[in-house]
Amino acid sequence: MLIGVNWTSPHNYKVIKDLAGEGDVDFCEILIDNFLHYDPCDIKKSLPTRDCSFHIMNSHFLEKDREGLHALSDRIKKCIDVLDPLYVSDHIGKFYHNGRKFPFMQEVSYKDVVGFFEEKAQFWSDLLGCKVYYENFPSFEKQNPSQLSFFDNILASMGSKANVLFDISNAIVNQLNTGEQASEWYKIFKNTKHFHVGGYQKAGDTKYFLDSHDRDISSETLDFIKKYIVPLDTKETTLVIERDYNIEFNSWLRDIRCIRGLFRKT
Amino acid sequence: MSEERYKGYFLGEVGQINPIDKLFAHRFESNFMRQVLGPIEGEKISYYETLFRSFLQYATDRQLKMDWMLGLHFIKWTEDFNKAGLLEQRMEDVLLRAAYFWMNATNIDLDYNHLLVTLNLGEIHTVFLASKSQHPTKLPTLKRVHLKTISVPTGIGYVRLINLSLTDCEWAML
Repeated sequence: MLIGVNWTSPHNYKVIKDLAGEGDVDFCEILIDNFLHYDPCDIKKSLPTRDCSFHIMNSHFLEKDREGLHALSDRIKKCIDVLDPLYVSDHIGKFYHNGRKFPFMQEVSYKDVVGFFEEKAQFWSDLLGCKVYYENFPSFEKQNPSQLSFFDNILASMGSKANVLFDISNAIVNQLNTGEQASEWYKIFKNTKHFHVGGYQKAGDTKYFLDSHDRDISSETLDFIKKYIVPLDTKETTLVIERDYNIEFNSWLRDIRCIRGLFRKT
Repeated sequence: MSEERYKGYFLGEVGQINPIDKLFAHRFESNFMRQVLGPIEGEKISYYETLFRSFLQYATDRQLKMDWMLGLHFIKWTEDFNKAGLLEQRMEDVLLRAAYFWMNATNIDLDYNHLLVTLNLGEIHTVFLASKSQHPTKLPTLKRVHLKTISVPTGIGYVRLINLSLTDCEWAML
């Protein structure tokens, strides 16, 4: 298992460099949106780890026109050519409602996108020149078709162009919010090599959980990793341990070592 | 997710029966209010929620984008509707947060490296210069600046720059 951390901007450069210095981090996952205005060679020279992967947050590939996607992919492609990432990942998200931008990404209505997803994703993959790994969403409510069956169908039809970036804690948040069992994703994630994990919390006085990425990994998530992910481990398998808020060296390192320990025991 | 759910994201009210609308409102407020107004604690939250909901209706009616300029729209709203006196936050602080949001969201206005935002109202004359990070290891910068070579029009405005040259600036006013 290659263990990674998410490099989101110069703001968390130092803590990632320090974590890498401890010898427990194999690669960093670059939130490439925040790096596209840099010279790719500068990014390569500044890498705090030996290897890297790319995570795209704001491609809007389901909503943006072809011209816009061409312009964005040109920039990402230059970075791919120079940095040779382990994988490129993206989100199946909704960013606009009636022309108004949400403050941050929302989950799509799967029944609404199922008719055109494959064409859009195929185009996006062709522009980037690689397979794209799509992250599963920490849903708030059940849908019909479910997110799981949506992924099942698109991955069956898009084989070489798409796969899942399986976010373990997102699946657990989804389970807590909707009752859909995270373990049911096994038939999907047994065929991928790329995983995410992060902290989550209850949203105020609501009954919902949010993928807050601001705290330690839950014991429920660790148990899931032990039971389902450890047996799938190969030399190419990756797992990014995400922190976006309350970024603190010691607690992040504790999570990294705890999860690395699960894989060493096998 | 239905269209009504997405609509609820913008218009959800605290205490609504449907808990997911409440969740949207909770998350939107925690992002939006902090982005525009900064941290608000304790009993003041409910007071600012009232102000916020009034502004949110204004923003919804005018189809304002929920992007970095929302803070600038907020200042204009407080000024136009004589709500500035009700706020404990200084207008300069709201302006500063708008600039801060822009310089850290580098995927916004990808080809521009600098942003000047101005507030020129009565006794208040403020200009902030937000510059995006120019190297993966270097932080972005935010400075209060004095413009000597150009004059700033009255009101709230901004200009985006590829390179930092203040000649031939065309100021966009809200």
